[in-house]
Amino acid sequence: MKKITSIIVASFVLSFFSTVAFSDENVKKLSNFQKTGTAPGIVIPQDTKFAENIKKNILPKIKMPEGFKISLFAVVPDARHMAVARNKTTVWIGTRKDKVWQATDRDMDDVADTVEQFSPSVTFDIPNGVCFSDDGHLYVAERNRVLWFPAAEFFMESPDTVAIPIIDQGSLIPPEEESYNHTARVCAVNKADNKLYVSMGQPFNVAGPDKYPKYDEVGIGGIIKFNRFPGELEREVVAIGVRNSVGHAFNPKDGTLWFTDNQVDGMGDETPPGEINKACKLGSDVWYGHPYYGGGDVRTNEYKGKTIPKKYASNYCKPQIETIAHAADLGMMFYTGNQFPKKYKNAIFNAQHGSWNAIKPRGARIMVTYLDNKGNATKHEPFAEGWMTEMGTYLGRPVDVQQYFDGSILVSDDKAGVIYRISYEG
Amino acid sequence: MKKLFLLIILLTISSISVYAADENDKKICSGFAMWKDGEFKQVRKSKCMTEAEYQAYLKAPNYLCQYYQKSIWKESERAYGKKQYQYTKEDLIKIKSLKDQGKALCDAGKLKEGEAILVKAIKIISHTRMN
Repeated sequence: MKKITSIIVASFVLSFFSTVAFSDENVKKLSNFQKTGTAPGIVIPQDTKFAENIKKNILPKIKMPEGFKISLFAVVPDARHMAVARNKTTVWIGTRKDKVWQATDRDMDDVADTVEQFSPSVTFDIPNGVCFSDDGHLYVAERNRVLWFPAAEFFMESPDTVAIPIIDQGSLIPPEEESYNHTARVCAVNKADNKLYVSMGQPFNVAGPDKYPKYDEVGIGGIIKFNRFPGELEREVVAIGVRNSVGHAFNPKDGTLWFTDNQVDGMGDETPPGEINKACKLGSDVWYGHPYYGGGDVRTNEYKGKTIPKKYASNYCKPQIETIAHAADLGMMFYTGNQFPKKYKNAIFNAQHGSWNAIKPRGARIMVTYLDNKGNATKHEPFAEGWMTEMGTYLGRPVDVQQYFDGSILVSDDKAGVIYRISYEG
Repeated sequence: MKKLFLLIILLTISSISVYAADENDKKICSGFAMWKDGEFKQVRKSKCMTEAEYQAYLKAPNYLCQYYQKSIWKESERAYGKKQYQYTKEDLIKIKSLKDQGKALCDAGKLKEGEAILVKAIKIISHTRMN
């Protein structure tokens, strides 16, 4: 019996490592513009009973301001963060599993006609963060690697799309710091310095004092930036003291970096608040509160009574908005389109995923935050809600919000496994 | 004029009371359902309470005692919660022992002392790396 167990374990370990090795081999080939011989990826049927049920059971329940309409854009399993292409009507969608999807509206009717596995020759590991630059490059931020797809927009139909690691496997964070929870990365390109910014959650509810200053140096529990093309990486930490940010965007008006931050568990049903932050400046000394603050100005139980070190206290950047506790504010964007009424211009839309960590269910909605002339947050209110039933069950859980070509917005939902499109019809 | 003014005040007070009563009676439910084979299926039956009951729960003197115990159970005893952390056997024994001590103090009415012990258990959970 022992022998059989050993054989099973050995074959499992061997097959795991050969998969990893095979994947690395494929990335190497793709980096060198070579074929891998991989078969075409999975195709997700769109015209199904499930799609009809979503239309019937979810869409009519979503409440939005007058004149807005919600429709089903695509059925995408485990849909998380999204990146919208420039020229073609394609949206790439990350997951917390091992696939990236591409949803394409081929006949220009604002509904995806095909949803296919993107780059099936690459074995992804929690490829949650996808972002697309204005100059046409797709980036995928995984748990512990960042890949560059320079021609995704043009060669996405092939199983082999050129893929080049910008940060190699195991080099985004030290491998011993890897976890599943709090490793859903997000990325965005800052137009001001043309660098790629990646948020990196820390793998604890509240990180212990033994984790610092290492985390601050690496950017774990923070945000980092680096060059987005091969060569010198010039990696720098631009924010520390962030617990677990899963959404960030640059304000197109003034270039400031904004990000959501999920706060500490185990302190109460209604405390501490979640956060929407505006970077006071970009720097490795700018501190956003963790682990001394659990959210807003609520001190964590773990560090209560401990003096906040001067290097943190004197560089503390307070949140712009305190959101309701445990709502799990995730993906966010600035609205730059012309389709919505004027009051939404440059407003922030963000998804509240919702949490189990409170008796009273919450979240599962899209929020909007308005900014004043100085670029600071004023009002924060629900924009679209109804993904939760009266019986406290989630029909869907919104993850990300991104602007589509025509000025409508797309909302991803990883519970229902779909993407919605919200448009304004007046 | 005075009468009209009085009437307006009375109407305002009564509508606020009606609104407050409605709010207090508002149901808060929590359940679990999922999409399976294209259908939305209830997995765990919903439990409900009124807003007034929820507020009373939050304001109860033993709220934190109860909340911390539940939180410790969810994160270190419940199968799903336990799986989320890289606990050692010793961690789990220590957490359970602190939970039991805290519970005993809470049950004896020593709420602050009980909370302090329960927080010690939560600290171990918080500082344990997640999977």
